Amino acid sequence: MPIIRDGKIIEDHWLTIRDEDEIPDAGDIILSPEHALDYVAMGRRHKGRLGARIKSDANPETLGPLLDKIDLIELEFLSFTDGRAYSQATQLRQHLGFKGEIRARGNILVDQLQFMRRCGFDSFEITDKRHFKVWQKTYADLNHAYQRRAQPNDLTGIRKARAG
Amino acid sequence: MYIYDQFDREFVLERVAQLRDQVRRRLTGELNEEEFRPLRLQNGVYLQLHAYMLRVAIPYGTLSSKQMRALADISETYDKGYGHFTTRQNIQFNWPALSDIPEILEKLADVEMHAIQTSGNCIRNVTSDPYAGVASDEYEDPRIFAEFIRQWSTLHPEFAFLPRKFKIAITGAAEDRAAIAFHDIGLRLKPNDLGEIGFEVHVGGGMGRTPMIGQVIKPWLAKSEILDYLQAVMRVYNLHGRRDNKYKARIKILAHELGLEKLSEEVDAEHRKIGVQGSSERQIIDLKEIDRIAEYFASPDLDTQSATLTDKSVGLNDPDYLLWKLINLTEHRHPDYAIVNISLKPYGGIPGDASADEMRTVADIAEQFSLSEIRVAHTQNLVLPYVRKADLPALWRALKASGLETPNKGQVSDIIACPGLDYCGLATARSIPIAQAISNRFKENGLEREIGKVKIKISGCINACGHHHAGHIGILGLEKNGQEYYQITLGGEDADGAAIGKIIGPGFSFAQVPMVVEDILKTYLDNRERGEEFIDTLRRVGVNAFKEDIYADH
Repeated sequence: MPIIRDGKIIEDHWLTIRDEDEIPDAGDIILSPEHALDYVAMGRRHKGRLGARIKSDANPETLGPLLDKIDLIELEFLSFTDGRAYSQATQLRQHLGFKGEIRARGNILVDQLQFMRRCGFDSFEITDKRHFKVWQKTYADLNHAYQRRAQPNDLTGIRKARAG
Repeated sequence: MYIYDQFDREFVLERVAQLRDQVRRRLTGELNEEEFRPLRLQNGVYLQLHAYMLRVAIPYGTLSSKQMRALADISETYDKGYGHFTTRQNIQFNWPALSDIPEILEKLADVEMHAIQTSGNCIRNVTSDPYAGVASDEYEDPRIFAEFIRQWSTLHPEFAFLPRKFKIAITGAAEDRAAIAFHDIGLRLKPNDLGEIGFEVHVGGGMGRTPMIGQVIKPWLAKSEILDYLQAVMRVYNLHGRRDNKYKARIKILAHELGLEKLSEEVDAEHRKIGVQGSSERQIIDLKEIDRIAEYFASPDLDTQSATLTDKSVGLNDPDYLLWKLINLTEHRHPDYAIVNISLKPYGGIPGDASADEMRTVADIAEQFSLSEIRVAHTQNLVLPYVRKADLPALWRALKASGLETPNKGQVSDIIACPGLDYCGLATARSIPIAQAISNRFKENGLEREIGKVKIKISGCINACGHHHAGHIGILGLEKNGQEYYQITLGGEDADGAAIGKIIGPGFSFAQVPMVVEDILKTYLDNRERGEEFIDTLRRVGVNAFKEDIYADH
């Protein structure tokens, strides 16, 4: 599955595991929070990285005990007009101190990538591939922003903040 | 006035380039209309009944003569030679071609203007008191914080896809001239018990099909906290506002369903997290930055000596001038100066419309008499904030020469009306022609002076862009079996003592409306006691007394 990360289109190998599926022995896997909590509580065995996906109506705080055990959090976009995940990403970065990868998945427009990046998203799995050819341009459309960005180490003031 | 620095200039130009590319992709079909929609909306581009419409922000209602001239030029080059000033301190161009819009935005950027977030489900152009900085009843100039909020809300990455649009208004005066109770968030700068100025925060006001008056969620908030607090409100709304039904998606519904107390708790919890010491999320407004922005709005040196001298040398006893002076002036904080209201409601005209020539005339007059500054009021009129009293006769003559001297501020013919069925795809009835018919009727019957102050507001559909809920007399245009009809409400108020008007009974036909309005106002004349304005009498005698008179006659 090609995804956009760090300004590049790359092949990605994270596997989405449904709650009813068996957890494979190896590979990078994405579980639901409940599934991930159970799995971690039972002592994780598989070789590979662990990720969790949360729904638009979930509170990121419910991931609490998992946050330092997972490498990736996937946030869903049911529709490109549904902006809840922008706030979830901000909360994960700003309030919960999550340092791993935050991924956007679902109905996304490439024109939205810059907003997502500034809220703390790192990677984008875009289901509709038609717009892939212009993503690079829109990715870096705006260099200026009035708000501070969601990076813990950026302490520049409100106007001086550069989009990242 | 605020002046763009290098950063603001580059920002706006980047945004124009971005839209230019999006328009290109739309025209080549790379973007379909559904995908293009939120992108164009956040740049102020609507698709109306007959054409695209471009809504340009006039942040907190402040314009320079140079900017006004640019608007005039745009209206001539790309439109039909006029623009429409709206109830939220924007100007709309009704007939631009989509392919011209990037170029129009470049011309706007040349004069430090933009159309960012004048529509779409995001934080809209922040509005304010048209008399900010010059009003005699002001605690503190709201423009400084309006500018902070403009910058903070502009392309805020977290709040570009909210459940629904979000409107913020701010005032710093004792009298509310910004309709703060009818905004998603209304802010009033005022002193606390210790005399320290902070914000009273109202939340959950709005018009639309479910009108609500905002409630005070924070009686007093330190000024330095305002952006963090707004950020907290927006986040709670973004996460929890309803997305299942667009008619229940505004924050007023969330406030109603959660209850003010619960909403307030959630906002406070979020505010505390944002405010954690050392948090990189804090949108800190430090004193240095407040001072930097405040400098742009510093009161200009007002020339007092010559003002008094000239005053004695000029005499003008024309009764039309005296009438205009009586009705269209507002008290300035400086005793030798006046605030001049320019009516965009000529008898029989379209409320809020201005031709390119009129815009240029106002620009010239402002340059000559008002330090090149103009304000746009939510009543769809213009304001000159810095006029020496000594210059009033010359100013009036200049206005009169261009037909801009209509003396009707706050009176029957100073009607707020939405564009209605003449332009809008959502409208169910015409509203501009109703305003014109009422205005013409009162010009003929000569009752306007006698009646005095009254707010008439007309909407062409239930979405209430003409603010009918907040009109002393509200008129709502609806449609049944292909016929327009009009529902009348009484007792609304958009200023202090905000109230939602009550429907008086069955609706009326287009032709009946002007007569009904006349009957309502005659009932007032029959019942008023000494010194009472229309709204006072209405509140004293009650809606029923009016109802009986109206339905007895029709």
